[in-house]
Amino acid sequence: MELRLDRVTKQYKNKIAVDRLSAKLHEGVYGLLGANGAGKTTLMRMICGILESNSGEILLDGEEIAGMGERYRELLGYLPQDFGYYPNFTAMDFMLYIASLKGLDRRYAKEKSVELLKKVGMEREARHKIKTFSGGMRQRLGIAQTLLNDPKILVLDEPTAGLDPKERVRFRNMIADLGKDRIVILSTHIVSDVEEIADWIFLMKQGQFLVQGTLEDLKKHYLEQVTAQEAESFNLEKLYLHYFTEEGELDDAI
Amino acid sequence: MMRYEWKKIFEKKFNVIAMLVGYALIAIVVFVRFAEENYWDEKTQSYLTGMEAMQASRERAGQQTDVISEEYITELLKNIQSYQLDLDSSEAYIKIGRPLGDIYYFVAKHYTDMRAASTDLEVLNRINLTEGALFYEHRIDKIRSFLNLDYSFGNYSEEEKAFWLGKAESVTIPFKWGYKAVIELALDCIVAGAYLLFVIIICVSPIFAAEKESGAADLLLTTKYGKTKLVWTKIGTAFLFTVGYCSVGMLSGIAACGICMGLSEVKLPIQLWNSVIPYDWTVGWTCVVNLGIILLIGVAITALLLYCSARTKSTVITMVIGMTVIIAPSFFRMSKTSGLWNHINYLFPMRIIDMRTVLGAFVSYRFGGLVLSYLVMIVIVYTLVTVLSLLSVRKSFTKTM
Repeated sequence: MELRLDRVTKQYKNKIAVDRLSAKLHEGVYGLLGANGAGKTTLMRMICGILESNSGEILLDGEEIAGMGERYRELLGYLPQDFGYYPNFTAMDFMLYIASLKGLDRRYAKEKSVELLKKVGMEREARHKIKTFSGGMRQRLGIAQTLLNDPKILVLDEPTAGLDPKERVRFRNMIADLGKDRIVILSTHIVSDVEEIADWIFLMKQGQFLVQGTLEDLKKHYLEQVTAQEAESFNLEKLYLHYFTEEGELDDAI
Repeated sequence: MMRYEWKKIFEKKFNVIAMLVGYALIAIVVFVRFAEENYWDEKTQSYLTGMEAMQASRERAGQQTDVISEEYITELLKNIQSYQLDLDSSEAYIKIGRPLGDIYYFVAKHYTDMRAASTDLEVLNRINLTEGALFYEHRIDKIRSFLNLDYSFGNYSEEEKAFWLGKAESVTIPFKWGYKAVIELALDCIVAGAYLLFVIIICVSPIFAAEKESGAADLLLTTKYGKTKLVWTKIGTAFLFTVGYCSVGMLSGIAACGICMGLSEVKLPIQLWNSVIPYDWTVGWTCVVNLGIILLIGVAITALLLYCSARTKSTVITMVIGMTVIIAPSFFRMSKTSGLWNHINYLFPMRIIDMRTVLGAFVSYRFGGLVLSYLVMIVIVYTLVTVLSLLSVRKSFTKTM
């Protein structure tokens, strides 16, 4: 499976949020790293078909996703950033509702919901109303719903936001596992999230891919630009700071 | 999928409270109308009230006559004129109005000019009875005079005059006579159903907007059916809610009337409300049509709300638009110079909720040689509003900036 971005552009009045981005994505985990406002969410929403690009196209195995409609959406799992849940729904209600929207058979949906709630450690809260959940629990529920249809393209916008360190590690492992047979795109501004699990990393700035590649590629690129002393203690965080803090863009990047 | 849409509506406390308040309004209408009914009982020299009064009035109507025949009206008028009383006086009320009841006011209204704001009782003393009451002849003359008057905002065309006279003449005569208050109460319950539209506004406005406001729309739109079945499910839920909620309210009111008093008078002619009405309908059929029109208004308002909800992405703005559409036109005055404005003004929701007014209004819409009645125009306009709004809902909801 190949998801291809071909000079994808999104412009809001005078601001270009995504600027002629091109990339080819195959099965694996792709990390989008960038400051707030870099265009990560806009790009993800375009990949999910929520937003239309002003120019360029997004193709799945050579077919433009805009024309695929339900055929494309049934391959998709999406976790939006800060999305609204239904406070009076129970976790199970929510899962079954999303399952019905994903076209799953009710019996299968129930079984799958139980399995996924267990996977995210929420089996005990299945019958609890969402309004009683903490931010982390809601995020776990959000992640669980993305997997209901066993998506081939999983788009996760800030999936670890609100999770405690233990949960974060757990989800990194889960995401790494999911990336073996599907395209997983995750955005974050938390460097360590992508450092450990992403097969390919995009550093985004002002709507463009500043640098992209494997961690090794990025390291090579970085080493070409820094002194030998700086190169000795390389990690992704340093690279990130190298690209993003020089203009004072990001203070919350760690 | 629809189950969850219902859940979203019914799990909001505010919605449930609004629904209960709406139904309480219907209950109040029934209760007040029963309570205010009274009948002077000559035997006990006291007023009967409530259901007792209704029963007594029904018996009196049954004893008066079966049909409004020329002979009956002539005798009635002779009897009234023989008292030689000022019919607006208390004495006339006690001696004539109170014992005769509804038929007295029905006949007085029949002989009152169509443009008069209230019934002129004294007109009954002025009727020349040398050739009889000429009740039905007077009906057609009265309509013809109304159609031939000069109006500052524009006169009836020849086509319209022919249209209305033709309809008026096609009405079955003589009219059957009977007690109409129970069926009138049923109609009041239907008309009160229009106020349930405010509840519809409260419950329907968030259907699309709340998804946008909460950010859930982003998730929904990426699911397989998020841009297709979900939209239609939401629309279907909204329509079912509107039709179901309003119907239950109105039909419960009618059922209460039926259980208490029976609805045996459904076959009386609609002309007992206003003898000039140019439709050959029974009061029962009028109730059915009135209920249908209220539901049509409800459906059109719902469609408009869904469009606004999807388009504005704001529950509050949608509610304000809905309330404005219903309330504001009630304050629009009829123009003395613009017939066009008046014809638009006639079509706003609160002007069309009562068929007793609509059917006797002689409002028509002319397109070249084609004349459409007020009722047909209402159906066309509200169906159009529904269809046009619905056509734009899906696009508005799925379109994201």
